[in-house]
Amino acid sequence: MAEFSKSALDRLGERLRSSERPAHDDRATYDAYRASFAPAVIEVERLCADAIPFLQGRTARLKTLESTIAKLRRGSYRLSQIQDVAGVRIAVDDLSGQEVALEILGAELSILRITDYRDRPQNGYRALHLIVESTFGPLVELQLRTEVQDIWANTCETLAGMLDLGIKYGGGPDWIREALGELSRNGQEGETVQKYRQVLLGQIGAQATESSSLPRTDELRREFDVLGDAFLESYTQEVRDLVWRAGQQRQTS
Amino acid sequence: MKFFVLEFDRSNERLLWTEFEQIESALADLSVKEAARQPQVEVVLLMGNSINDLKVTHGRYFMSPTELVQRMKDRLTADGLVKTG
Repeated sequence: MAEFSKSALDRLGERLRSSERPAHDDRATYDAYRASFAPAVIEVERLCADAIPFLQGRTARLKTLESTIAKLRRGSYRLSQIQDVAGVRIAVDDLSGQEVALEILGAELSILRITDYRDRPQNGYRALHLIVESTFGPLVELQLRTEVQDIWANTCETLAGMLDLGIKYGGGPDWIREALGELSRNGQEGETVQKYRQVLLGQIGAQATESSSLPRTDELRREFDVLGDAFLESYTQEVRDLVWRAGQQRQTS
Repeated sequence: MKFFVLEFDRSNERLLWTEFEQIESALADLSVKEAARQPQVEVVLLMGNSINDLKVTHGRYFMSPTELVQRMKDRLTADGLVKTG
């Protein structure tokens, strides 16, 4: 990182933000800057693999020039302030898995900051984001997503690709924004039901050794089963409807 | 770890990918493809143990949202966490 001074990076960021088509030299400088994150992202990915080898879904990426320019143009960011040039994404099944992964990673990695988008979504986006230090210097953003959170993000990205890239950042047609907001809230509720169901099943398991008759917990379990099934059906249908409606709109526009 | 440069055409949801053993080769390929890309084409560099890892963490390049949500339903059904299939 030594060869990239903060002021030089920010001047590069300004040129990337304002130019219609980045100059060849600016592309080359961004390429070199991005490449300087490679050892850090590989290191953090490896630490995650060692800490939680039982998770299959784990990848890393370096930010595209397109995505960096979009971020520079979106807000008042300077290039030197962008902290997700290097990123690692870990897929977990559910909220409980997310909590376990966070606890393990917290003990194994040097985490500078945790941003919890689960209860405070950003334009509907929900996930856990960690900023992690590497021994090489550059910071790495680590994303922890449950399957429900990931489906929402993928649906949003797909709709953006179909209709309007602004959808990714809370823009686009009103009906899409409202439907994605609704999908996000339903996902949050569904995941909460899933979590409490697991807590309940854990308690039933613990109490089963103490008592063979637990009529109230059986009743509760059935209620959670019904809620869980209903969530899954409605979430599936909402995703299908959204994609279908976006497809119709794309055909007519 | 392997390195994959993906080219995803948003207009027809067509995906091409190239696999590399060394990150230097992948970065060089990424740079060339980024410079030449059409506006509707996303070019990304992803790293993972196999293409299957990418399918889990970056599912949208490989499946539609409808297929992704069906994949979740299938998993939960197989795990006995829901009754519906």
